[in-house]
Amino acid sequence: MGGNIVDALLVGLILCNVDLLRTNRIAALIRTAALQGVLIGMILFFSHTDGFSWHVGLFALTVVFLKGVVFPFLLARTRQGVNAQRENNPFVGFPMSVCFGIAAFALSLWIGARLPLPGVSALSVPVGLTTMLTGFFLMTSRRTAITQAIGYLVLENGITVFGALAAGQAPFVVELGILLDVFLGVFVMGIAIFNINREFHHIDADRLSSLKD
Amino acid sequence: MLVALLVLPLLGALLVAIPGMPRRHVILGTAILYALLDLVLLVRGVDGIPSGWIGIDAPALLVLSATALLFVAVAAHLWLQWKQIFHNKTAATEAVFSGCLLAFLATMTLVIVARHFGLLWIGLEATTLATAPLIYTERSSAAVEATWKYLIVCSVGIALGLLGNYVLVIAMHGNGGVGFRVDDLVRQAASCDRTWLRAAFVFFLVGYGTKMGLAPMHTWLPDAYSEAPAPVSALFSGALVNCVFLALMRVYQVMDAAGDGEFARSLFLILGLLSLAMAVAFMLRQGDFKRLLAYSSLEHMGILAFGIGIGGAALSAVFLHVVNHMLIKGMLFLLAGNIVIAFHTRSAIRVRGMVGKTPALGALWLVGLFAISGSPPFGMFISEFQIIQAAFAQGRFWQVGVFLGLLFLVFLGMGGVMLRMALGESKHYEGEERASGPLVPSLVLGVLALALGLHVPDWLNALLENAAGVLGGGRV
Repeated sequence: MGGNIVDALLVGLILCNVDLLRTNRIAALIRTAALQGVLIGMILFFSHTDGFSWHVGLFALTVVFLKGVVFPFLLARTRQGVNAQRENNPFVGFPMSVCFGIAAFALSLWIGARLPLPGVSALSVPVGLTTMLTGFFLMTSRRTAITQAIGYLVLENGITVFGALAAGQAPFVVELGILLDVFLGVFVMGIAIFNINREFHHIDADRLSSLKD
Repeated sequence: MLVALLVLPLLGALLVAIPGMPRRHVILGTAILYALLDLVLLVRGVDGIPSGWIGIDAPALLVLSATALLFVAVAAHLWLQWKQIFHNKTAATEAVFSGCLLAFLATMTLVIVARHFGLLWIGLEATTLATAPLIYTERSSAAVEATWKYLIVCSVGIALGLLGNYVLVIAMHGNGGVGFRVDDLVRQAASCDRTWLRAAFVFFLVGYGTKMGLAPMHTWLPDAYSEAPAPVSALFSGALVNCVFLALMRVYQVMDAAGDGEFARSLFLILGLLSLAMAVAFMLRQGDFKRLLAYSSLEHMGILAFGIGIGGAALSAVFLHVVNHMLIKGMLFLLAGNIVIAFHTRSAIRVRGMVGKTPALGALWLVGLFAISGSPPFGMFISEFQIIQAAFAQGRFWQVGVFLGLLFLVFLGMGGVMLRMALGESKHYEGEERASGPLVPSLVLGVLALALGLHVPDWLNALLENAAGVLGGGRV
């Protein structure tokens, strides 16, 4: 039963990835990334079929709180601060981005078949990889710095899917430390974006190209 | 004892947050105390120190001592040049700089003493966060750009390192609830899932390699090194890379214990030669001398990776190279800082005739050129020579050929730029001599590099052998 729920949640993740690639409104991007975070927290919770443990439950709850509430809040504040509404003129157009997402999923399924993992949903590795690739894609194909930060979060989400497979192995302190670091990372990125905007009056990361050889 | 090493810089960081505090004194004081603690460890030896989540073995002690020494030199340089660096900056900038500098030391210490892979990761991510504000010190648009690139690229790298950690756990899954400390992993390594272990290694190599500056993930390196204040670049290049290198060595330890050392070594070899090639490509006709030094760091990270790729007898040479590089690159970056303040430019084209205008600085700059290119009698010659020797012993002739060819090209590139800076005819700066700025810290580093070239003391030799032994060195 737990397996079915996890499968459904993983499919939900895939749909989130498609939505991330499709949309050009930054506020919507942040919301979808938040939803993704909540789904991942739930995956964390449900993927441990061998009885409930306080350790895993607490970790899942923290993940939901951080990825679903705190990170989106930080990013939304940054977005309002620099008044960024839309992602205009990305390097790769939105329909093409969705095509990329589908291709990435196909590739992930192929790789997942080569990295067998008994006892967990067959979708876990592919979905984790797809989410990571989506995050990478967002970071490299979009112009604004804030979308790059969102892409980083999506990348972290993908990595956390793998974390769900490995959860419960490390003491809670370590997992807390990891989350704290990611939190600080997002926080510092927000500050950096403010400064980029202040210095350049835009947040187009591709126009940050004066340093070159 | 180890906890003291961690807590000391953190206390310092808290102290400098207080307004009105004489920050340069706190930094220097912390550096000296830290070095003294390290000296105690060196004298006492690493045996008998309990190893739990944190601990210290020979490689860690080596990197720790290198970090401590360089930090003292940089702190002394900052102490002497504080006014020139901060005269045009706000008190807030000064506070952030000082706090982040000491936090940087604390996070590096965490990476060095961590025996638990999760803790190691936390330390590495923390170094990225602590150093980003340091790059931004000048508050220029170029500095913003460099800081952003650094944050994004290194965060992605460290995220991949996190994936490596998770995949490593999956690889060890069959053993149920294995401890995640280096010692446990090494013990359990032979009985784990090989495919997943290799996947983990690749993620670690790409992820942590990004932070170390291995090609092709090095794109943040030249910008960050050239925009950050020179003393910060000295620490990046001479201390931070060593800590990341140590982290990669922990991963290598596990791979070696699993019997997959050959796979790991071949990847290191490829990345090493690739880094060297990239360094050559960008060093020729380089217009900014701090970027030149950054590409030189790329070159030396390539040499370290190459040395690991050779393995066996080359390992102790690799650790010797770590020490040499720290000394010489630290010296060169501090000198670069002096040049920037004396000539008000980072352009290698506009600076000319240093031996005439700033004789002592020009002379040291030339000395640095020869030292970093691996010419005797400096220490770097010995470490590079030993690596080549080990490679020959393994019959890797064409790899050595490529290696030597690239090193020669690097010397041409660097030499061209740096010689012209020191000796060339000056079109822009006429007549008067300029103040060189504080040269003693750089001089001390240079003298130590020379001393190492002439004679490696026995205690250091023993430490190097010990460190290589931990990584399975000595076995060919």
